[in-house]
Amino acid sequence: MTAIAQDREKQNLVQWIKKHSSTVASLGGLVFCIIFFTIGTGMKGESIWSGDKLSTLIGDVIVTALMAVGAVFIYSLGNMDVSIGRQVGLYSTMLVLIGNATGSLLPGILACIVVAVIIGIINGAAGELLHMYSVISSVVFMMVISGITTIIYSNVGSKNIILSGVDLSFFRSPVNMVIVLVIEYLVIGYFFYFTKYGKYARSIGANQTAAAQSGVNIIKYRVIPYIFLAFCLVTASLFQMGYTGAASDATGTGFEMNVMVSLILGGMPLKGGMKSRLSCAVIGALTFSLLAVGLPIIGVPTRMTFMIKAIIFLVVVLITCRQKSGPLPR
Amino acid sequence: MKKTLEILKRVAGTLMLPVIMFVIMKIMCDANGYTFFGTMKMWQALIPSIAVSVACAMGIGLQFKNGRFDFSGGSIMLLSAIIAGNVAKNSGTGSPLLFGALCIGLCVAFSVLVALVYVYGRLPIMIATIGMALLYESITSQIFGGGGINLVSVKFIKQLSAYPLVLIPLAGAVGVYAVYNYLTTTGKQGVLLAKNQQSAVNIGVNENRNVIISYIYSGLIFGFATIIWSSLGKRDAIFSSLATVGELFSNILPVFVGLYIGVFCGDTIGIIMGSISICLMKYGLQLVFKAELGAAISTAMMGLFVFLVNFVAGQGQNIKKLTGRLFGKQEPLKA
Amino acid sequence: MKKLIALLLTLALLMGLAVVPASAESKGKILWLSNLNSGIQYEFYVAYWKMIAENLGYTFDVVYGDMSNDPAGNLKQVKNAYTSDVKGIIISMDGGVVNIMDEYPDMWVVGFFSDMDSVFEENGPSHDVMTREKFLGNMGDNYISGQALGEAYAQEVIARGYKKVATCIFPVFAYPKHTVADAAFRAAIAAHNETAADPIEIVGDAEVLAFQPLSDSYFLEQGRDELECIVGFCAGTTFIYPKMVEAKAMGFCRDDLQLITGGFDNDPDLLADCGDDKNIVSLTIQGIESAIWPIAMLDAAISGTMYKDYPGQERMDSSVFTINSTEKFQAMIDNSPMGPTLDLSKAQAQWDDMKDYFTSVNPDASYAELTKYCQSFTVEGYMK
Repeated sequence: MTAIAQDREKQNLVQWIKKHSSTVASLGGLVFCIIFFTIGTGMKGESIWSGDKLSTLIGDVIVTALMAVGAVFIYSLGNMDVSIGRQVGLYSTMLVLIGNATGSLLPGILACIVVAVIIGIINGAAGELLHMYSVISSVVFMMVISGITTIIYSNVGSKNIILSGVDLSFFRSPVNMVIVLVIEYLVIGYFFYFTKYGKYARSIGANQTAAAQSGVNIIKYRVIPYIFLAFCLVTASLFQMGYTGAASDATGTGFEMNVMVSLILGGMPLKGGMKSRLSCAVIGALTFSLLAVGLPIIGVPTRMTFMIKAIIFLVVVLITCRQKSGPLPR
Repeated sequence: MKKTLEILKRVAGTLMLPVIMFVIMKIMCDANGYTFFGTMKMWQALIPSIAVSVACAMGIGLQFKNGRFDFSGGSIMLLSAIIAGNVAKNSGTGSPLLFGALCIGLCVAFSVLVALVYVYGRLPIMIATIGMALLYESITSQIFGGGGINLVSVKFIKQLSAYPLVLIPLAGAVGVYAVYNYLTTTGKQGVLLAKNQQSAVNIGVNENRNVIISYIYSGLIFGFATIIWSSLGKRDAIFSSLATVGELFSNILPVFVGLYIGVFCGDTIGIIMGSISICLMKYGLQLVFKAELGAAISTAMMGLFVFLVNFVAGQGQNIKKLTGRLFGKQEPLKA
Repeated sequence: MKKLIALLLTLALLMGLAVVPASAESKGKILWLSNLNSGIQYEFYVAYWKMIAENLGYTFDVVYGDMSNDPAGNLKQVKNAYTSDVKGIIISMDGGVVNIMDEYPDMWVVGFFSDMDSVFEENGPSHDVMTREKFLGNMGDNYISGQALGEAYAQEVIARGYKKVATCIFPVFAYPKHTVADAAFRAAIAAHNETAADPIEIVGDAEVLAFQPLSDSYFLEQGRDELECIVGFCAGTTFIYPKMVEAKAMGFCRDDLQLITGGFDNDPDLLADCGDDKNIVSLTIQGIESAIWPIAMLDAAISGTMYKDYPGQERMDSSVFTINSTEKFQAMIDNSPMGPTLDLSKAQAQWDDMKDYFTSVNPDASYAELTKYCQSFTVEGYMK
């Protein structure tokens, strides 16, 4: 290859990196964590890639990643859903109760899908139809579901309920977790990148007025992403409940913040738009879980792990999310 | 005559929600034997809760009105309470002024730090505030043995969260919010920036300065809120990520309600009325439904109530058409 | 230049990691799945177990449990903290015990500072654990039986001569023991009233606190403004005491209203309000030196020298500290490890006192003697 051609290639590479700096930076954060913990845990006589720890890592990642993949659709609209955690708690509870009553998971799954889709439709349509801030409907659902869950457990008479008589080994296998995540990623990825559902969702997030004037049915293409999220939440609930075979009134607490933090770490623009990427979900979830699993292995005291996570979060976002010019980002 | 009618309309619109709420709760409580609802004693017992709700809502609402969703308020209040409480207790001076000054000073300092990260880090506001919330929460588990703070039995501090002295920090919070909104250029520029950021910048609004000053004001308000909140119960350090964000989502409800009532009376009084309405509802429902169901039902009902208020307010134009001229103007809200 | 900086950073990173000392040779690690993350009791248990573990040749570490006792949350915390040298775990949160034991079938498990209802109740979510050899039993948080707790509080009320009292509990679905305790309390008072000249009135049903403080309206309700004592089966210092103080300041209740409850906090301002003529007259807590029991059980199991008279898994009371006089409160402040600052040297049992109860030190040690020893500690032990 001539020197000129080499130079041109180098320039193209530099330009590609500049254009995709956010992706590169978030991937860089993940790669750094992988290298750091590979070396660090090895020096402590453990390995983060041992069977046990890998299984712990996958178990840690799976629920957050499954939720986050669906949430990318919502965040690409420029929306935020704070009822995710409570929904997962509710669906886990429904799966256990219906599973115990019927001896099978299937009726519970169908019931959860119905409820999740209804909640999704209301969440998606309420803002536009009822002329209110879109986050309000999710705040409302967060509170209503929280109350309902407490009443359920109060009536059941126990803080924890377990599912018996159903084989849950499928949900405990790390291999199955990875396969399901990959399948979900491919399915949601197809809709997100190659169909109008994803394209319109991103265009609504970029500029809703322009999208409406281009003929996009705003209400319809705001609701459909929530339906995708609904299926993802039910899948996440299956794995959340399936690993322990149990649910409690606290299941799902804080999950919406885990999703948000994972997406941010993965480089997702929270105002949505055309730069939204599905890979943010998995990259961010993996990075956060690596920190949770790896820091104790290298001997960091538990209390310090919170501070280290916070500092790493700030460093990563300062690299991935910084906007150099224009008015202050919103 | 027209002017009188206008005033009456505004007063009616302002008081409608809290009065209706009071009447409904009064009927429910009386029917269940709780005849003390509405007495002076009840109000004395309820005022600290209303004060905290108003102050927190104003702190969050100030940034919300400027188009900024701030997740760091809860963590700022907690960290300030732990530091100020421990220092004030250990100082041996028994001075509520020292405690108050520390709360306000620390809240302002932590808020300004958030603003600086936002302005100079040039991060989206949600990301900047989430990052700072994570950092502040992690600090709470490191300082003073991670034991949080318990000011309940510290009399010189506790008196600031009981009637009548609780009215002082409440007045402080309301005063700062009102001054910011009505008497400062920053407040007015903030509205411009919220409506159309690029245009405001183009006409010469210094956004960086505006943000930092607005965070000083919200820090002041959070400081007053912390003075009350810190001694209402034991405040534990945080050992799981973003546990304080729940404070945001429960304290933002009066903001949503208040911004709609504010059409009649300005959002300062609107938020106060919103807080009163929500506190009355919570108090009444927990009385009537009792025990574990009381808290659960109250949470669910509060959510539905906020939905209803936003729905009704969002349909303002339609209702106006239907009823003649019952409500004032309502701008359709962007999702 | 950039490559040089990158190389220097990498070297610095590696050196930083190398400086972290590798753990010395040990018999293994013992974990504590803790239901506390701060406070003097937490500090005591961590320091005490660390001391004992070091003397036995183990390392010790703390895992913060899920504060809502969610099974998945507890399992996740244990999994994140688990390393290949972990041999045993002391569990103070019973959510997900069966899942933890499924995950780590070779790890020894012992319960402490929790009633472990999910394990010992017939339909409990973790009842299956009772069939597993690796589960060694449980020592609870003071009285296991709500009956015993209720009766003890009733005797306290009778002894102090209160005539009008009320009770507070946590929701039954979370703390069934409190409901049992409340019923036993009422039965004991009723029995007393049959022969008493001045019967004791219990105002209303037990107030159920949904992990929120006493409500603002509590003292406004009929009969409550004349209460002489509140009996809190829940953690009253956190959930009842603040509202009581507020109510007194606003004149909503009697000036001499007092509280009998559980839980201990070494906050000087709180302790200043504990005593015969103060707001808090009685605190019942677990005897902290009972902490010897779970680590002795783990040591016996891990070292393969189980007690010859070990009867199998059982659930038992810990020693009980009933701090119900000004002298006892003062003794706790001045002479116990849980004073204003932690002082292990004030513990009623030091290593030399306890070592013969460990089978790895004394192969003839007896399980019955160990249990009796760990249940023998009292507040009076700090007053000698």
